[in-house]
Amino acid sequence: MNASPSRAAAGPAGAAAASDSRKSHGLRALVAALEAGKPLQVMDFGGPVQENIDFITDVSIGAGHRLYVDHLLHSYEYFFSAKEQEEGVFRPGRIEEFVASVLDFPDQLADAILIWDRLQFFPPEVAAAVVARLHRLLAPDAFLLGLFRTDSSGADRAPYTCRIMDGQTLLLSEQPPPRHIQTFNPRTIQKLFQHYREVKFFVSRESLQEVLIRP
Amino acid sequence: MWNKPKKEDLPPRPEPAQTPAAAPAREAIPTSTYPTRRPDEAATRGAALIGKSLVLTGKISGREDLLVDGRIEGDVDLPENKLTVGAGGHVQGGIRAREIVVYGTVHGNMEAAEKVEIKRNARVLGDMRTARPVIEEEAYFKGNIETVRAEAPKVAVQRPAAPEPPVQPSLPNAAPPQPEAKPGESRKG
Repeated sequence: MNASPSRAAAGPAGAAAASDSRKSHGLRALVAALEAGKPLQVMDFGGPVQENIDFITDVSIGAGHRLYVDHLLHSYEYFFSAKEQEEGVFRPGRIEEFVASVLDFPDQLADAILIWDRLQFFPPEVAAAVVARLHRLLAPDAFLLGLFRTDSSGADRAPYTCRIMDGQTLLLSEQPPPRHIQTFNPRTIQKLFQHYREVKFFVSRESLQEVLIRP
Repeated sequence: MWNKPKKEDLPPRPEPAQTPAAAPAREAIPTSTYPTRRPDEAATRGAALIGKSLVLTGKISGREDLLVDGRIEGDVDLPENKLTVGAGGHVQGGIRAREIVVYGTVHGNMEAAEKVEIKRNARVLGDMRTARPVIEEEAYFKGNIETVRAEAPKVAVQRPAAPEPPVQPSLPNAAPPQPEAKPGESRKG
């Protein structure tokens, strides 16, 4: 990705952290796919963000897609006990229960999924189970857009709130509190999405890997 | 909603800060169902009120604005009016109104011709269909959002008396109105 980050003040709604505005090739490719001229089903697992709601659903801007919104990380933190989250040990069937409760949709429902950086905040087994479910959730020509921080310092990080400012610009702002984060590199990302047909990386100058994935 | 909302999906809700107004009074004062804090005094003035101690089970319909600070278990149908769910209010059922503002909890689908507004700290599990969805970021929302075009306001125009137009024969093969596609039906298996 030809990232052209620029520092901005706190984002809309009083975002606590400074924000990075950047050109996103992954977003551009996704938006091109969404301009199909008919309403599609988009799923945003980053939680409610007004800019994203307007951009995706507004009938005056585009086709007026349907948008499913959930904050997958909050759902994870609510579903699992503090002990389970701390130790990363889950009794058999527990992860399946979680996936079934938060991703209870018909197969091939989604034309696009925005998972942003959420997978990095799950333990590996949970991330793998979510990725497997998303694979069945995506329609054959659909896309999944993910962000992966490749910084391997081991420090806790706050998840991003990702705002779609226009068809090619994302505004990223960290939303405290920081949490433990799994480090990914291109090889581990490939492995995570090994059952998907295509994993496309956009080269970034920073420690943020943008990935567009097709089922 | 096709993602069946479950009670356990709800994240823990932070306890509201204790305000001086909410501190227990020294004298015994008859308990009032009138809310101590109304969401938007000006916007809800004149609205019918379901006070915080009231629990209603069944369908509510009417032609006046409504402020809910209590609990409703059933559908609410106010197609020409505004429904406000106050900070302590809880609606367990579908809502149809001209405008819906949620400070409290809604567990059901919402449809508003003009606007649905979900305020910070509100909790909503359900789909919404409206011309203008507004969700503040510290709100908890889980569901599908579908935007519809706002209906043009109906303006009564007085026209001069005109001669009766000739009666047109009705079209026998006119297509019936198509039912709206539900989420999850846009794709096959």
